[in-house]
Amino acid sequence: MSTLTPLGVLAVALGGAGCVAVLECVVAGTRLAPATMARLASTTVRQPLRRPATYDSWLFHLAPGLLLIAAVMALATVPWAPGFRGVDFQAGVILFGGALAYVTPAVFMAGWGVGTPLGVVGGFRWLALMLAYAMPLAMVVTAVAAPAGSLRPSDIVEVQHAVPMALVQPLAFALWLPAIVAVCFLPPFDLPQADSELGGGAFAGYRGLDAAIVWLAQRVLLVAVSGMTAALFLSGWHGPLLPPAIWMAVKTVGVATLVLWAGRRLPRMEVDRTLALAWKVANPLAIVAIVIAGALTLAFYR
Amino acid sequence: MTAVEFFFVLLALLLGLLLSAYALVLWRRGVEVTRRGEQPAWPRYHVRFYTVALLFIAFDMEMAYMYPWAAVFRDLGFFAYAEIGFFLTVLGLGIAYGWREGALEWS
Amino acid sequence: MVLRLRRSRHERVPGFVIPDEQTWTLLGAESAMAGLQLTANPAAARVVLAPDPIPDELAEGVAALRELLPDDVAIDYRALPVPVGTRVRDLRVGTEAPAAGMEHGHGEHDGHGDGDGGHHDMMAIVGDPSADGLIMESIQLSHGPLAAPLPGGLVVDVTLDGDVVAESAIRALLRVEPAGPEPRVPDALTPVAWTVVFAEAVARAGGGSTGSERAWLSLAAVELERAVSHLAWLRSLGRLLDLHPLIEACTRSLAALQASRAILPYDTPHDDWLEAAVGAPDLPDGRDALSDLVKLVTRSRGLRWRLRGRAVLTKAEASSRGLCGPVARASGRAVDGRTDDPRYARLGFDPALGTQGDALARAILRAEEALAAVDLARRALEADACPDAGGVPGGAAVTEGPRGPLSARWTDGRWLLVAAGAEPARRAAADAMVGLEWSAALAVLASFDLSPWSVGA
Repeated sequence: MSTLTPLGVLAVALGGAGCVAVLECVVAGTRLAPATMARLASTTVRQPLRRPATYDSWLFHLAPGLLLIAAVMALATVPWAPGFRGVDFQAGVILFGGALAYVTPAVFMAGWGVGTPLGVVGGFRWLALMLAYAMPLAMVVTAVAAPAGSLRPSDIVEVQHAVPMALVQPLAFALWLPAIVAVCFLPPFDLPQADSELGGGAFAGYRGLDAAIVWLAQRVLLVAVSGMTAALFLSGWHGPLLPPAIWMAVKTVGVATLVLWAGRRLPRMEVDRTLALAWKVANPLAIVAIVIAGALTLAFYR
Repeated sequence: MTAVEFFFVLLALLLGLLLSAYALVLWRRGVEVTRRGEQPAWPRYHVRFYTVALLFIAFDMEMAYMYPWAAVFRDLGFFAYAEIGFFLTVLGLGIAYGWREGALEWS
Repeated sequence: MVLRLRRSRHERVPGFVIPDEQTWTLLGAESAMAGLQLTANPAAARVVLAPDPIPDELAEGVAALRELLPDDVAIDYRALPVPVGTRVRDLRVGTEAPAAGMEHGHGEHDGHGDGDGGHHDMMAIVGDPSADGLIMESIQLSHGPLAAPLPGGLVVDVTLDGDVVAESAIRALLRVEPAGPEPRVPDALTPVAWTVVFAEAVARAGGGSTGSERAWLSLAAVELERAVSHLAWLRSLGRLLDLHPLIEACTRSLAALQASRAILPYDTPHDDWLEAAVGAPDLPDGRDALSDLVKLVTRSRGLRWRLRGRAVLTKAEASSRGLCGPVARASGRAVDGRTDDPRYARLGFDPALGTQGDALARAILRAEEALAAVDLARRALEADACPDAGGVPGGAAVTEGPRGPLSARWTDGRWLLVAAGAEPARRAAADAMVGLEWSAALAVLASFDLSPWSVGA
């Protein structure tokens, strides 16, 4: 970790967000129009900030910034290459979850701060969604860390040099994927901002720079969770022929594309059914996944 | 640099960028206030959040024990596995109890 | 699991349609929405389409909408091929007819409380004990009248307990006042069916019968409108649930039906438009797309997740509430105005019936009815001699529309219009929403396919 690593993380954040924007166009089948995107971006930023009078000013204006900070902090924990491992913290996966935890107050602040009924409903729906995804996410992380005997993401990458964790623990992988889509509040889990049900929901009150930051934060979140998926489940930078960083990029892009594509095919999930699924199915299965991981560790990873 | 230093630098960079962006927009365009005179719709949260949140906190506390277990389990062997199995069973019973008692009903 | 990377021919601009895309589709303006990526969030729209002239009842909604639009977006008013609330040309009872040109009807506010039809509006905290005896502060919200993807003009007044609906009432704001012997289409979502009803009613008022070879064309027109109406509704359901495969399948089917000139412009004289109507050879294209759609709807896991077991209406309940149309048929109540009609019997009509009575059954039933309607239309156009529809001269003319039976009668110098089952459906939908979480409640509301036009006294 050199002094330039924070800058590197920021560069990955911004570059990654741009890549995700391109991926969205590809997955949706719309034409890439860089000129239009640039024009949209500049129009958005050149607008005045808008806030509804029925607001809680601090919460309303702090939410986008907090969301972006949470996203970039989560991105910082992802190891991209043997030479560029982000923060490379000994308890990196916990830090990843901890950074993602700040998304929750940010989204709720956005919904509560705007003060419109559907905005507040959007905030509450996000809380319900968080109660659903948080536990499977944390438990699956444990299941993946146990074979590596370490909570450092790069150690988990190293232990997969032969076989990716997705093949060894498919149950854990199947539980992880919906959880990370929920963290990014992307379809089918775009409950807080559901366009068709809440008319924009928790983020409807934002214009201009605030809206741009929320957009950016969501894309950076996707990059962060895709990168962590590639690191924890898809062997990270291991792979024949290509350099490690390229492999990580390919795998990250693959996961992001999968997430975006699934979002277009599936309808939006409902809060009560999501909670029921999470606590009646996903959490028991996550416990089973930890038990399986323990057995696998004893058998193969010692 | 250590992790703490790293995060401080990153946070400082981010905050610097954000604050300067906001300052620029506020200086050039200002703030537009809309929807005056309406009351905010701030309800009390519903009690059913409480039941699921209790379960969630129980599991969160469990995670505080699971993380160190994951870090040292590989070297400790079968005994640690049995211990955590017992721990997880107790928690599974917790979910089952909550399920039976209707703590997971949302509507 | 196939990853389809399609090259799009043009860029899709986010757009918002007033009052809703169903109206535009049924009034013949589907092509105007071709380059648009319809969004329900006005803040994201770059193009806003509105009909010119716009119904008065929506004025406040449009004003509230303007506040939510981005600053550089202006509302684009366009004249629809068939204006909203138009009179049916060349059909009049008696010899006198008001000379006026194309006007649209005036609206009447139902004056329920403070419904000021804003986009999201009306925030009030009301303290009231909830079911468990706790004093909960709830949110009161008037969702509508321009709350896409619900039909424009429909206002849902709800009391939300957190995000669960505690009370709800549904109002249909839009209205066309019938005035004088010249009939006006009272429901812009079923223009063709009303035209056919009026033609028959005029014939009856004049004492004539309704059998002629043009009757087949009327029947085909009604059936094709039924298909288009159900497809447009399915597409709006897909938009509500954010289910893109459904949206695309519906758009394909609608395009195929459009290609066969299935939408009949009724601003030409009634005698003429039936002649200028559909070409039977084109219909098989629509049929393939439609049968794919029916397969999608019946097998879609996404639809099943969202709609199965929601808002179950038993057969008994459907009867006691007086429901008609696909809502009743999905519960197993076999009430279909077409069963007694000898013309339909000649075409081999068999009413589709559901058993479950939940939201999914209603969706599947409408998809199947759309497919059956296209088949009936083709058979009608290929048939020759038309039997007499029967009925009492001077009595009410009845046609089975997409949402239930529509009837018109000219008595005592005024038109008596009845859209049976519309008000019961609104009440049933409002009752079904109670106790559900917001997104489930909206899905249930959409499954009733309510019309925002109130018809009758």
